[in-house]
Amino acid sequence: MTWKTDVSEEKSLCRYCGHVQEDTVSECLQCGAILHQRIPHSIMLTWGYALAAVLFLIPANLFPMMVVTALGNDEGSTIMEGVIYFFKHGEAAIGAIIFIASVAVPIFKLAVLFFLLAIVHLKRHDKALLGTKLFHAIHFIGKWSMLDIFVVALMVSIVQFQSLASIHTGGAAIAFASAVVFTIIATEKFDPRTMWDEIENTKGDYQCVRRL
Amino acid sequence: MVRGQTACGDCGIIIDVDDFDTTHQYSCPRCHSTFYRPGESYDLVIMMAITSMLFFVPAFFLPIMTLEIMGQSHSVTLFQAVWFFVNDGYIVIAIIAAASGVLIPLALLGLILMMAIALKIGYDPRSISYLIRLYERFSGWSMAEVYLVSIFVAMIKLGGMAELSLEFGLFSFSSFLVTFYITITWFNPHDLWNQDDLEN
Ligand SMILES: [Zn+2]
Ligand SMILES: [Zn+2]
Repeated sequence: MTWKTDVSEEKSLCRYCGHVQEDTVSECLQCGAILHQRIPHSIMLTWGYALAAVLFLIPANLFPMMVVTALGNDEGSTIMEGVIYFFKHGEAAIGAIIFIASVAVPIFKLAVLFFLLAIVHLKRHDKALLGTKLFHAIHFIGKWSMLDIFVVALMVSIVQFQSLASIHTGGAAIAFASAVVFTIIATEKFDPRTMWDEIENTKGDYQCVRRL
Repeated sequence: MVRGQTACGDCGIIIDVDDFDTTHQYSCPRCHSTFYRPGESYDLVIMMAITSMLFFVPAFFLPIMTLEIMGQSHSVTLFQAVWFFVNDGYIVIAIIAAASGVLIPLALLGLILMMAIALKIGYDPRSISYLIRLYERFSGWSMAEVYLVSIFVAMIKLGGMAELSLEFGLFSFSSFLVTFYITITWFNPHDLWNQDDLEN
């Protein structure tokens, strides 16, 4: 099977309205959006944001997410301590939800991003189909890693109403939120088409598709 | 427009769509990604969006829970939860939580309503294309469902230090979330350009 692609046909697709036109056009003829055949600097930006996310995950796991001050004592808890707390107090389901959202999802998401980048760099077109499916999966689950940030945000504001205890955000909250936001941006910047590009060059008989 | 020829946004192949209609789902022959998903008529979208907005008002301003600590009871509304957090100093987190959990979903609903109503009263889709771009830019940042689950987790965490009871606002927020999801599933921004097909 031979495929004609937007690159071989010198077309570009408008991601906002689905219109396909010559790649010499800079603004979509149908809706006026700025056209790019591929997301500009996709691979470099994905690397940048993904690595920034990895760096922010380190303090996010070492410092407390929130500090509870009760009767004059300060008690901070990191993400993992929060998870362990729920398991110890018989709330294993909530512990599992927080573990999946705050630990498993961010690590899985970043691992998938690096796998996708590896597919592009090593030109493993045989993995492009798997890569595209994983790309859709991380789009879908990525936002759940914000769960613990929202919990902390809510607890801080709710407990401010009374004076016995007070809750403040710990240093990890801002680091973790940054890691999640950078991971989402990295996913948005990744262009899955880069995994499929140049597929013609790896199989000689596809070359004839290109028309000049 | 998808009819005739389009390209797959996930792998880049050119796809000929000879018998296009807006009632079927179309996917890419090479990477299997869906490139056209049918939406509902804009009348239904407008109705659902208005329903969702009506649920938003009590969800935001009525108490979602009541806390009781040593005889003192406090009701908490989402509005307060979003607003008071600013006092903590972590304004960045306050903005991220308030925006992605509550404000962006509301903005998306507003954009859908504006687009659907503009088309109904006969605007040219070209003249509102900046609204579509805004909608697409923000749609990845809407996290209302995560926010709802976080309310339950926060309640369980607070259960250790206070008596808690659910209030009507939480029910309204859940209803807002369900109708919001129905609205964005029914609304297909690409159909702005397939108006001829929708008339039939
Ligand atoms: Zn366009
Ligand atoms: Zn495809």
